[in-house]
Amino acid sequence: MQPVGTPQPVAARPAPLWKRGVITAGFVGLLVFAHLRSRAPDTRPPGANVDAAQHGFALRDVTEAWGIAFTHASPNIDPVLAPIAAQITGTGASLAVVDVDGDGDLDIYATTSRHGAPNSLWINERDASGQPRFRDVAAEAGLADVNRDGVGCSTASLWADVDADGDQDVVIVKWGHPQLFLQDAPLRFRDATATSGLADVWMNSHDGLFLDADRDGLVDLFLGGYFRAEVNLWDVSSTRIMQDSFEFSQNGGRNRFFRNLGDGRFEDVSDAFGIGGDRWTYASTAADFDEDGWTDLYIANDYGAEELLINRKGTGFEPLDVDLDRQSKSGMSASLGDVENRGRLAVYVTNISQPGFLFQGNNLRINRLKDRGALADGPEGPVRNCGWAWGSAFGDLDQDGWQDLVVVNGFISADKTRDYWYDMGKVAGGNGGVFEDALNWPAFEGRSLSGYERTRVLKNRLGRSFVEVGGEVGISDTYDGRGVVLADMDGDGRLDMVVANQNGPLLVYRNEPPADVSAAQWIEIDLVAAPRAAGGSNPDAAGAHVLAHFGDATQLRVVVLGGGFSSQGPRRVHFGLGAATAVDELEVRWPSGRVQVVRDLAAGRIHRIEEPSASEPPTVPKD
Amino acid sequence: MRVTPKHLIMALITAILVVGQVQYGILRGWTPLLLCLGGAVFAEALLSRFMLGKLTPLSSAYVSGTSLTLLLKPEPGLIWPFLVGAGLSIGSKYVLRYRGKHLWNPTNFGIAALLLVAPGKIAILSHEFGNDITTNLVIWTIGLLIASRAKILHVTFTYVAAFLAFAWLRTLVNGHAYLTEITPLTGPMYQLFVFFMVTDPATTVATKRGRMLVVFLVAAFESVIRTGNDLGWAWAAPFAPAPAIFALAIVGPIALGARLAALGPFGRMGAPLQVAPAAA
Repeated sequence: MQPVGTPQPVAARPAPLWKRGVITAGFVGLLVFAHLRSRAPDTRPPGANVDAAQHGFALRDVTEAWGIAFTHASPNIDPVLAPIAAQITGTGASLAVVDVDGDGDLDIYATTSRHGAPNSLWINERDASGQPRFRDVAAEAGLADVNRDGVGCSTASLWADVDADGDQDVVIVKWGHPQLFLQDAPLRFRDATATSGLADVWMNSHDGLFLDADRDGLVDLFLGGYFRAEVNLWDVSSTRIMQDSFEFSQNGGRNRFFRNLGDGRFEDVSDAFGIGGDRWTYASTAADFDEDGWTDLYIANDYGAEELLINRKGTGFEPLDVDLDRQSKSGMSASLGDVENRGRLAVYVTNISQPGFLFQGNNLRINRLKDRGALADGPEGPVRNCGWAWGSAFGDLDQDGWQDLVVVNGFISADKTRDYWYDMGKVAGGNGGVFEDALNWPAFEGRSLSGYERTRVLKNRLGRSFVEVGGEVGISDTYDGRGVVLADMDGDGRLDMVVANQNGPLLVYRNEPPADVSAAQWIEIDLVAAPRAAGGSNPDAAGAHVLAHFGDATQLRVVVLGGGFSSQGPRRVHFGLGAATAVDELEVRWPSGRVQVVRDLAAGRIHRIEEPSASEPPTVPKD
Repeated sequence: MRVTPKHLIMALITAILVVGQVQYGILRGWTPLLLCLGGAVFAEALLSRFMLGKLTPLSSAYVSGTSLTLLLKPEPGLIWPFLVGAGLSIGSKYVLRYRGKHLWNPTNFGIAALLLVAPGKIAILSHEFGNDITTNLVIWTIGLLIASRAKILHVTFTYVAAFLAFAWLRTLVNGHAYLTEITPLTGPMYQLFVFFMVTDPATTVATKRGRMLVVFLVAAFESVIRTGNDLGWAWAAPFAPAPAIFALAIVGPIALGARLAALGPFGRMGAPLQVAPAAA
C-alpha cells in the first residue's frame, strides 16, 4: 500500500545498467529464495520397506491382524443444516484406551455418532502366542446401543472408577444427554444416568475429563460445551447456531463441572466452582500447573483463546492471567508432556494450518509458572504446522528417553478435486453476524476441507527440536483423524498408536523395534491409590505427577483421565529410558497431596507403586 | 507542518495496527513489525541511495512495512517471509518499471508474489480482527474521511459498487446467498484493500475516469477469479487465497502500462520518466 498523493515525474537520470543489473539480480534472488524455502513437508506415504533402524522404531498397521473392525459414522442431523452438515458433523470419532476388565491388558472403547449405530468395546484377549486379539463385547456389556433419538450421539467417553468400587465406569459424552454407566460386575454395565444427577443435562460436548478437584478421593467431572446447550442438532429451532467470530466467539456452549458425591451421583457445582463461559470448548487437560498440590484445568477452545484455570484448594477455579486471552486460535486438543527432560510440563494445543489461507500454528507451551510466572514457548518447527490438526499425544516412541509427539489431522476428506477453503475464505474474514447463521455458509456439495492429511509423527531431538518422520516410520493412512492414544497394547514396553478416524476406521499401529535392540529401554508405572478411608487419592490417581530421574534426565508425566481430543489414554505411565538401565529415583506427587519417592527401579518391567497410607503425613499440606 | 493526505494515511494505518494489536493481538509478538517495517525502511534507504544517490522520504516504506505487517501471516516460527516480503515490495519499485514508473503497488506485489512463489508457507487470512462490526465501522468511518480528504473516494466507491454488482452476478452462477457473496467486503482486511491498496495513485492511471475504469476492471477480474473457484477451474485455484489482491496485481500494471505506452516515452509532462524516487 502506498500513501495517497500525486505521483511526481522524475528528472531524468538513468541509473547505470550495472546498478539495475545488481538490484534485478537481488530481486530475482529473493523470489528464488522464497520458492526454495516454501517446500512443504514430505507427507508422502511410506515406501514398501520401512526400516525401523532409521528412527529407532516403525509403526505397522495391525488393526485387522489384531481382530479390530470398526468404522465411525457421522450423525444425520436436521436436514435444514444439510448444506454444511459435513462441517457441523465433522467430529464424534473418539476412543479410550483403558483396562476395562482389570486383567492388566489395555482395551479400547470407540464411539460412533449415527443414531442406531453401536459403539464398540474391544477387549484385549491374548492369543496363544501372546499377541493381542480383540473382541467386541459392547453389546453384552451394555455399552453399544447409546446413539439414539432423544438421547443424542456419542462424541467421547470418559473412564474412571466413579463409585470407587474398584472397577472402571464410564461417562459417555454426547451431543445430547451424557450417560453414566457403572460396572456392576465384570464387563456388565448398568445405565445409572437417571440417578446420577446428569439426567437433566443436555450438552453439545466433545470433551471432558475426570479429576479430583477437591481431593476427597472421588473423581469429579468436567464437561466442555461446544454448541449451545439449547441447540438440538436433530431439530434446530434456528439456524443461527454457528460461531459469531472466528477468533473471539462468545456464543458457544457452557462448560460444566460436577462434583462427585459418591455412589455414582454427581452434583452440578459449575457456578460455585467458577466453571462456565460461552466459548466453544474442544478439549481440556488437567495437572498441577502452579505446583500447589491441587489439580488445575487447561482448556482449549475453538474460535477462542485457551484458558488456564487454577484450582483454589478445592473451593473453585480461577482463571490465571498468563497472556492467553489475546492469542486466539482454534484450539482442538490439549495434551501434556515433558519435551525438555527438565521435569517441566509442556502443554500442546493443536490448531489449523492451511497454506495460503491460514497459519494459526499449534501451541507448545512450557510451564514456567514457578520460576517466571508464565508459560514459555517451546521449540518451533514442524510441531507448529500439522495441517488441520486434531488429537495429539506425547510418548517416547523410540525409547530414547525423550518424549515424542503424534498429531492426527485432516478435517473433511471428500472430493479430491474440489476444495472448500475458498468458500471458507468468503465468510471467515467477514462479519460474525453473517456466518453465525448456518444458511449463510456456502454449501459443501462434496468438497474437501483440509482432507487427506497424513498423521504427523514428531521425533524429539534432545528437547531442542522436533523432526517429522511419519512417512519414514510407516504411517500410510490419510483418514480424518480425531482422537489418538499412545499406549502399550501388546505389553512389549513400546508405545503403540491407536487412532479414531471420522467416518473412517479405528486404526491400531504396532510399534516395532529395530532388529538389533536387545536391552529393555523402558519402564512402566502402575499407581495404586491408598483407600479413601485412609485419606488416599482417587482410585485412578487422576492428577498424579510422576517424575522419573534417569541418566541426566528428569522427566515428568501426569495421569490424565481425558485430554487430547475426544480421547483418553491409560493411567499406566510409560517412560523410555534411552541408555539408562534403571530409574534412579521416581517421585510421585499423589493427588491427595502426598509425595512419595522410590529408588532404583529396574528397566523392562511394570512397577506397581502403592500410595502410602494416611499415617505417613503428606509432604505437601492438604490445605 | 502541513498535514497532507499522506500523513493521514500513515496515521490511519498506524492506528489500525495499534488497535489490532491491543484489541486482538494480531502481531503474535513484535518480531513481524520489526522485520517488516525495518526491512522496508532499510530496503528503501539502501535502494534509493544505491539507485538515486540520495535518501528519499521513507514515509512510503513506513506504510508498506506496516501494511505488510497487517496482511502477511506466514507459518509460525518463520521470519524470512517478513524480510523477503519487505524486500520484494520495496524492490518492485526499483526493478519492475516501465517508462520510469513502477507498475505495482509495492505491498500488493509483495504479497501476491509471496503467495505465488511460496504457497506452502504464506497466508494472509489468519486474523479477522474478531469479525467484529464495531471494528469495521471504525475503519470505514475513518477510511471514508481520509479517502474524501485525499479525493480518492470515487475510486473506493467504484470498486465497492462494482464488487456488489459482480457479487450479485456470481449468485446466479454459484447459487450462494447474496449475503455470502458480499461478506468478504465486511472484513477489516478487505477494507484495507479498498481504502489503501486499490486507491494508490502512484500505480494507477492519472485521470478520474481512468481510475474508476481501472478499479472496475479490478473488480471484474476478481469476480472472474472468484467464479473460477466457484466452478472449480484449475487455473483459478492459486489465486483463491486472495482474489482481490491478485486481481489488482494483474489488472493494475496492465492498465498503467497501457496508459504509459499511450503517453509515449516523455510522458504527459514531456520529461523522460526514468528512475523515480521511492513513490510518495
